[in-house]
Amino acid sequence: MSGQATPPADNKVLRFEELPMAESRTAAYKIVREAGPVARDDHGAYVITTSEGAEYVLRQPGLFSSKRAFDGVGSPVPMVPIGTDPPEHTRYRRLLQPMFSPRSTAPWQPRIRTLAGELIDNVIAKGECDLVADLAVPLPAQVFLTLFGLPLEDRDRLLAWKDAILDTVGIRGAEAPSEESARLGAELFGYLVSHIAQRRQDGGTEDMLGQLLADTSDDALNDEEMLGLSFQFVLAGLDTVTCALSTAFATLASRPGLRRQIVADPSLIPNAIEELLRVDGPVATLPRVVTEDVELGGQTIPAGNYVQVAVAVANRDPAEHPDPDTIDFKRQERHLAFGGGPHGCLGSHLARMEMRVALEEWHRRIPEYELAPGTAPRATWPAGLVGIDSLPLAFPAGGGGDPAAGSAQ
Amino acid sequence: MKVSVDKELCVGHGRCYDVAPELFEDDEEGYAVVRGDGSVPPGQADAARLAVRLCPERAVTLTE
Repeated sequence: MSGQATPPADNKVLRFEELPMAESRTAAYKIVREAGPVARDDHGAYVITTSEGAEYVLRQPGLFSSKRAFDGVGSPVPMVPIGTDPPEHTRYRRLLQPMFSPRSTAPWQPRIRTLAGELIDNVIAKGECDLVADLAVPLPAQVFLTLFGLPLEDRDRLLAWKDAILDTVGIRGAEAPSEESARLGAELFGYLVSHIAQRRQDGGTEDMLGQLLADTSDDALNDEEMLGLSFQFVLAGLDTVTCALSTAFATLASRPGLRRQIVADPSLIPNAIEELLRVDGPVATLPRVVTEDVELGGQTIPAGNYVQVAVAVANRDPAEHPDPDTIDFKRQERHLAFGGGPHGCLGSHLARMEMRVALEEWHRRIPEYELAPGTAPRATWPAGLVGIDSLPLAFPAGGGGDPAAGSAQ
Repeated sequence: MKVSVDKELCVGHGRCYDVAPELFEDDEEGYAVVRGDGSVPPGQADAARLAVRLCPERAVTLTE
């Protein structure tokens, strides 16, 4: 890549792979924050660590390109819309925004609530479960299958493809795809292609895919773009929610004081989710590529260089968040856990709903729970997202809560 | 006292209409629009300030 700067030789270089993320995001993000507002990493990228800097970069897609940053994530078709820039991005976004709006996603809440309740009921009698394997992984996968009109029996197949593809994507999310990732990408594509073709024949607008296919306007997505969207939904909409649920439950299981607050007052849950996402969201950094020389934080970043927007660190910027490492479910502050600017998370309303439903359904069934004896939650690191692979929990067999309480909501 | 939403900046996070539904609503696409002419009725000033504070795009403004 032309103009790619070599990493600076001094010892202030951030090595993301070596951060103590597994044990403590608080400790890890402190290291990043203390490297300065525009730090450098060992791949030569410029790391933006302040809230102000992060907002500046995310709102200027012309200067900080997503298209170039997402080239080569193993996708045989364009990553729609995450890996595009305006004006191309603007068209995709205009088409997709209504599909993921609150008006479109809210009607799915009862169905998603049922799915979450069934997953919890599957383990409630045992008095123990792995929150990740039993709830955080299957729920978002089943939501995708439901929204796309696919059979729930395909869940494990879908998860296997998704895992294999994501395993080949490096921490920076922008490395050349391997042969294996291309092969698995092709398999997932074959599955989606045949489903989309089938649905074009069958019609029906009862789900999100059907509604997209029924669009006959000039702007409608063609099959290739539909595939790009489906592929991105699988890669961006599953693990993100899984990871967010894993860290949220890890915090609640480790901190009885916080857990009891939402059990005593479930109306706190939406705000608690915002706070849990602020301090421990699944996205640590968002990549961009600088399109022309740009001045930032007193230094010049030459065109062609990567910028990593450390949104998780910006979310703990003391200039924006007083006492930033303290979790306070009554805190009400803007955060960048869903990114920002034109690429701000398209699925945020759906993700928030999935998390809310999962926390509500869990806590009214199982208000008392803790980390399984002898376990300590560890985030998987290095990884593309911040999440916990396994979270064994212990609770009274049968749950001890009142599953009927608040079920009318 | 009036609230307004900058259409150029709003990307549809929905924080304003979540926390101040009497002042803002979502349009068909999920973007925020003010209700009526954006006038803030008595008792809604705190909700208006909260919407300003929570908007990740800083697209909501409050004028006295």
